[in-house]
Amino acid sequence: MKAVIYFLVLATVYCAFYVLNHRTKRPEGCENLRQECESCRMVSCPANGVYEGGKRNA
Amino acid sequence: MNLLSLALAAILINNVVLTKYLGLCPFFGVSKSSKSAVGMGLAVTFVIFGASMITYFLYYVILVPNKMEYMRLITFILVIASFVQFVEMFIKKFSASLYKALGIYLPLITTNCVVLYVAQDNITQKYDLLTTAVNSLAVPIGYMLVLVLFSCMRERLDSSATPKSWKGNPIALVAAALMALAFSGLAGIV
Repeated sequence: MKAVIYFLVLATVYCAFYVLNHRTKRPEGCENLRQECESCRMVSCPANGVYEGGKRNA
Repeated sequence: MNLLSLALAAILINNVVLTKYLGLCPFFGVSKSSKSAVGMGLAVTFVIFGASMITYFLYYVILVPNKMEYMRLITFILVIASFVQFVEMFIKKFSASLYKALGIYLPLITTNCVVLYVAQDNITQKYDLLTTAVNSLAVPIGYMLVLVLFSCMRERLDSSATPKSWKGNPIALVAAALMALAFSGLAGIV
């Protein structure tokens, strides 16, 4: 029971930080930052070049 | 001397990329230019140090007294993910220049296995606080060193007359293998 409560507390902390982070606006000039990763062809990875501006290109 | 030899071993001899083959995804993905390699290295150093210290305290202050050592792995994963989210939010709010330099790498670091490896290794090796701090700084410094060196090599390779079928990742893999061989020659210094 202690372990379950402990896990739920950690998960809640993570969710809280995740939501707060996504609600925080990017600074000016940093809206279109993107990574230039070309190491593999895993299109499911958000760092892959197939993604641009948060949207996936064909 | 023990701490110094630990640091030297972590940076050069037991290098986390070239010896343990961890963190290879950003190693190959973010090493196309030296500037991005330095940025990635600094971000990794900060995250690994912070996450390792937090996980160290959590393990010995909460998990061990409550006999929940089995929760170590899930704790560390959640703490690392939360820490990265917190750091990204903090630098978004308070430092635009730092966010521009490092911010794009932070989500990539969440899934970097080197972070979890260092946190786990500190516990497995039963390091005390000072040794944990030294190890948590030395391993990412070694990672950054190799990343920057490799990025310099890749910049040279990109401008050289590489055969078409070898351009990009194939020649990079060969270069990384040769680099691992070169670093293995440092094994006797400590």
